[in-house]
Amino acid sequence: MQRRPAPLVAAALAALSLLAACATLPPRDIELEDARHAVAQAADHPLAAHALPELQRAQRSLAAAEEAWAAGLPRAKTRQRAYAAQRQAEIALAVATQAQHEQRAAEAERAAMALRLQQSLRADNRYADAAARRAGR
Amino acid sequence: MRMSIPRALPRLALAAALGLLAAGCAGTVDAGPALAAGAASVEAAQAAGPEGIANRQLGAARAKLERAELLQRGGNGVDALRLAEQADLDAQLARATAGTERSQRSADAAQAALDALRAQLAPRPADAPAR
Repeated sequence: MQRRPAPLVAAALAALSLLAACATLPPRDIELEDARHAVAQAADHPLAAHALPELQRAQRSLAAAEEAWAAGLPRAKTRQRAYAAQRQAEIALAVATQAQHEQRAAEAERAAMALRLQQSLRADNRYADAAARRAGR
Repeated sequence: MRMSIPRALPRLALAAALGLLAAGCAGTVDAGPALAAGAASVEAAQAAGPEGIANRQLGAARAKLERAELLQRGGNGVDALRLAEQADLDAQLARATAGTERSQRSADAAQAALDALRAQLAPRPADAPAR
């Protein structure tokens, strides 16, 4: 029986290519990924503009961490920069969230003021009606 | 032009001394300024009156600062610097979180006051006009 090794060789080559591709992928860095996630989350906040300086600091630290990672600097450098980026992003998120709470409080206070004014106008109208009725008797 | 070994010795010695000095400087890290910055941030966060999560974040910052001070005293400037910088960031976050928590309490109180006012002004069955 004649053997046909070609498919087997092709499969082996494909598997080797896949392994080689996997081996060349950079290993994952959890701290860097957490920092990226935190910065993206802060940037996505609807009131991120209220925390612009904090957000920019976080983005700069993240860029520095990415650079350290890409340059193959000692891992401690990447981790420290990623830590800074993550904390600064969390600070940005806290500042933006504070602005959101302040808006909510201001809206509630405005609505309460409008209600009180409305109530006061109604009372004034009732007094005016009563006075008109007395005058008409 | 080639220099004879005895003539080159002083230059070599100078180069070696400078090299040793540079290596010594590179190995010595002064975490003092970072420790001072961390302590100032911890104090500022404490002044913000942290509660809940902010208080826990401040606790973590304090613990790191204490470890950094110990490391600095033990001559491990590199780790002291790393921890002092982290403590500084943790304390800044504690301060920001304290502000968020305070603003949330204010917003909740304003909303509760509005709800109470609405309930107070809502027409009651007794107020309904008689037909």
